[in-house]
Amino acid sequence: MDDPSGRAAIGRAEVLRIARLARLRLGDEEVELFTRQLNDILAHAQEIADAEPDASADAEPYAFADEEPARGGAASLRLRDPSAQPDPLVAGPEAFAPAFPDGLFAVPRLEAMDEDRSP
Amino acid sequence: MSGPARFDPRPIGDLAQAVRTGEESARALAETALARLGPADEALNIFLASDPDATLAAADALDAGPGAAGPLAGVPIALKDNLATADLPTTCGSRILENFVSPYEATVVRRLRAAGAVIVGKTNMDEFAMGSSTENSAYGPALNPHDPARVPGGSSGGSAAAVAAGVVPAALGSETGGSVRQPASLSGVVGVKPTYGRVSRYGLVAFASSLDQVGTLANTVADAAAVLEVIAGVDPLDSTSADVPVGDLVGAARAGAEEGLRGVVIGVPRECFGEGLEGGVRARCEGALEAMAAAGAELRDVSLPHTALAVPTYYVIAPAEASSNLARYDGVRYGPRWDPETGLLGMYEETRARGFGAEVKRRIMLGTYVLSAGYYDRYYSRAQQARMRIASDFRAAFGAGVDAIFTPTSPTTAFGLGERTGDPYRMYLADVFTATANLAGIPGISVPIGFADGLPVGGQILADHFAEATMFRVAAGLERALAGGS
Repeated sequence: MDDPSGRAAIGRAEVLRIARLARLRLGDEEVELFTRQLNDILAHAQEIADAEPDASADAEPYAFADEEPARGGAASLRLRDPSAQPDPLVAGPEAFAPAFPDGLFAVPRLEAMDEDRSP
Repeated sequence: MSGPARFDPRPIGDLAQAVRTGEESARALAETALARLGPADEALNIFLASDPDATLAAADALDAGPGAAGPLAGVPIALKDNLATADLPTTCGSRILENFVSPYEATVVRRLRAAGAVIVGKTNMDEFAMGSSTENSAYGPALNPHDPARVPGGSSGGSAAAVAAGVVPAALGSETGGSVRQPASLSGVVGVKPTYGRVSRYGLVAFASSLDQVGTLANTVADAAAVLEVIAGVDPLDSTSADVPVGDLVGAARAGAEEGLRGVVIGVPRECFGEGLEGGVRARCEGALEAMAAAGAELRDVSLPHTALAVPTYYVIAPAEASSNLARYDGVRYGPRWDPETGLLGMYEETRARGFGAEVKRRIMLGTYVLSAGYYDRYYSRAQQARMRIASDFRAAFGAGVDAIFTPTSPTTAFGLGERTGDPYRMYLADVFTATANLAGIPGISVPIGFADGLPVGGQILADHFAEATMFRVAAGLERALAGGS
C-alpha cells in the first residue's frame, strides 16, 4: 500500500503477500519483524526511488575488453559456448535429492497444489 | 600490536619452490595446517568441514608424483563453503544445504588442485554469503582471532580468520558487496576482489549473479596475487568470465615493493573520509596516505559523488537477484524436505521456512518486493540507474589520469558479537566503501594499514577494470612503505 506522500509503506497484508510470492511460510513474530524491518530498509532506498528516471544511465556497468560496453536487457547477455561441456557428475541426483524413485524427482501430488490455491 | 602468528614467514612462492625441490614436503605443510586447524576451530568456529585423511593423501600424492611441479605445490588452502567441492560438503552456511556434497567441483577448485594446492577445509560464512559478520551462519558465528569477543567480518569471515590465525597461508572467499575485503580488514589480512569476469563463477553458489566474484585472502599482497594468478582467466563454463590476459600479478607486486610508488597517481575521494568514520580508522588511513606520498606517489583529490547511493543501491539489486537465485531451494532437488503431506506449495513454504535463516528470508522478501508489480520501476529500475552513476564516477576518475583510488575498507574496526544483529541497515553500512566496486565491476584490495585500539585496520586500493596488475603494484608499494621501506 502507499502512504499519502506516494512513498511505499509495507503493511502486514503486503508482507504476507510477498511471503506467498516468495514461497516462505512466516510465523506471526516474523511477520511483525519483517514488516518493521522492510519499511526501515526501504526508507533508506527512498533517495533512489525518488530520483528522476534517467534513460541515459541504462547501460550495463561492465566493460569487457573485447566488446563495447553492452546496453541493458536480454540482448546484452552473453551466452556460453555450447561446445563447452561441464565435468561429469561424480554422483547422480539420487545422492542428494530428497526423493528420487525410479530415476525421477518426486514431489507431492498436483491435486494438493490445487487445494492450496483455494481460499 | 602484531596479532596472531602467520602460517609461515616465507612467501607462498618460496613454500611451493621448497616443495618442488624436495627441501620441504607437502605432507609436512599439510600436517602443520591440520595441527592448527583443530585448536583454531575449537576456539573460533572458523571451519565447517575438513577431512584430514583426504588432505594428507593429497599431500602424499604430490610428494610422490609429478604434480608437485605446480606454482602452488603443497601450499595448504582453505575454501569458503560456497565453492563446490566433490569431496567435502558445500553448505553455504545454511541448513537448507546441510550435508550437501556437490557432484562436481568449481573451476577455481580444479585450478587450485592442478597448481598443486592442498585443500584443508571449508570455512564458515554468513548463510549464502548474506552478511558482514559471519553471525548469520546456521552453524554459529565465527570469531575474530584478534579478539574472540568480536566478529571477523563477513561474509568470508571463516576464510579471513583461518589466514589470520595462521592455519593456512591463503584462502578463497567470495564477494558480492565486500565480503572478502571487509573481513580481511577486520581480521588483519589482505583480501582481493578481482574485476567482474576475471575469475570463473562456475561452481560458486549463486547469490547475486551480476555482482558475485571469487576472491583471495592471504598474509601479504604478493601471496594474494600468487593465488589469484592461478584461479584467474577465462573459463568456457562461465559466459561472464572474460578473455583478458591475466598478466604477471606477482611480478607487479614485486615491482611495487622494490621500486616504490614514484610516478603513481593515487586518487583520494573526500566522500569516503566524512562522518561515520571511526577516529582510529581515519588516523591509520591518513598515515597510509602519508606513507604512499613518501614512497613517491602523487596524491590527488577526486570525487565519487554517488558513493552515498552505494548501500541502498546494493540492497535493492543484490536481494532482487538473490530472490531469483534462491528460488531453486525448494525441497525437490537438494537438501532436506519438510511437510510433504501438506501438498506441493505447503512443502515448498515449510522447507524454505525451516531451511533458511532470518537474514536470507529478509533479503528474499526484500528482493521479491522490489521486483513485484508496481515496485519494479520505483526501486529496481532506479537502482540500476544509480548503479550506472556509481560506475560513471569511477570512469571519470580513472579517465582523468588517476592510476588507483585509496579509501578506508570499512568505516570501523571489528565490532562486538551481537552488536548489530538487531538492526539490519546498520549492519549493511559495513559495506559503504566496498559495495561501489562490486556495483561498478572494478577490482579492489584491502591491505592491513595498522591497528586502532588493538584491532586491525584495512585500507582499500581500487583500480580500473582488469587493471589488477596496477592494483597489486600500488598495494605492495603501500605495504612496503608501511613496513618502513620506501
